[in-house]
Amino acid sequence: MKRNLQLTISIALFTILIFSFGCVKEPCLDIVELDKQSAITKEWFVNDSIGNQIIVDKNGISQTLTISSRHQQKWDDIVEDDCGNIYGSFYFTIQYNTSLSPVHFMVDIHGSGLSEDGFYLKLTVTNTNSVGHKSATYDFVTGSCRENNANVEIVNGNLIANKFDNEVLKIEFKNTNAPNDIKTVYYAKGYGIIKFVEDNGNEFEIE
Amino acid sequence: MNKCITVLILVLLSSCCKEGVEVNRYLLTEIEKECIPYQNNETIRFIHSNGYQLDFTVSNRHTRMERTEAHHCGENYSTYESLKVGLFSNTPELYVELEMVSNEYNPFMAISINSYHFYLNISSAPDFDTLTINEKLYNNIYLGESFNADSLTILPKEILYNKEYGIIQIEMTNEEKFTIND
Repeated sequence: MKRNLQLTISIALFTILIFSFGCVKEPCLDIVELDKQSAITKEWFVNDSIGNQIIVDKNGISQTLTISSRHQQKWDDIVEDDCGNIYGSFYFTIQYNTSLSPVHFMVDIHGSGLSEDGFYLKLTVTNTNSVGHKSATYDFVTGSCRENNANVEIVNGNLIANKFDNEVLKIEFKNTNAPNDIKTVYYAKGYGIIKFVEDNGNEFEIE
Repeated sequence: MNKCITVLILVLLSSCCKEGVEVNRYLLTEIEKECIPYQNNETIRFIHSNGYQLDFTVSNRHTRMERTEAHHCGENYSTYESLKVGLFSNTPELYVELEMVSNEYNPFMAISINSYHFYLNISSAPDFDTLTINEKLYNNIYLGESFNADSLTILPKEILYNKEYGIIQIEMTNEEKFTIND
């Protein structure tokens, strides 16, 4: 009888313990900080006035950097906390083709109140001859690359080309598979891709 | 029960399809094969109109038998011999592929530069008897023009070709040119 009572008490305590672990209160959304990060992230969208550009490589060969698609979307109520706050998410995506070289770029800029998504810019580079692709993600909150395959930093646009005052994201991949594999991409705030460099040193810059 | 078996047999029979038969076989003649003069491992030097020199390496010259598409079950088909040759340049990264089939089957030779296609009717008379390009005289030149050469995007617009040298010049829509530097 005494043993049964002890067992019942143990089960009851265990159940209370489990439930109390499941009821850990999550912190409220920091709306001020989220608004700040949203504004910073959205500055990197490419302005509507920017269209196709002529790019010239180091050898004087021209081609067109064509914007093949551009799209943006937002949702107002993706995450809701226990304090009565709601927060949304948004994304902007732009894709580029080069008219002669077999290169395709896709840039996704994303912002979300969900902490696991956060605020980031993801660049994906594809060689359409070899169908090889690679990507790197810059996290606006931590100011670093989420993957180990690239170094990403914000540099002054003037250092890249005199005509740019804006900040520029320099995305440099650590590994390349072929001499004409893309090594570094420069993406200007509000302007998009302005320059890229192959592993063999050939540079392509907008005119 | 018997009805079920009959229906089952009918269904099985209807899914069986007798393969069509080969009705024509088109082989390349030696003269036709010589229309693409490139041989494996050759290097072909070109010069861009801005002065930059680039090398194309010839690879993967081969012939194989291809079969025409059959759209319906049991349809008859033809086979044809196809000669393909690839030219690759590292800087700029260009992959050019030439394909020749028997004139009797298709008189057009196909040339693709990365994803842009040209079709040259090299069984007909040349478009130019002679042309002087970069101070060199070329005979019997064929002209291929791109279908999607809009002026707003810089694309390969025209290609000049002869049976002795192969590609002589590629002209872009902004008038930049890649010319053989023989």
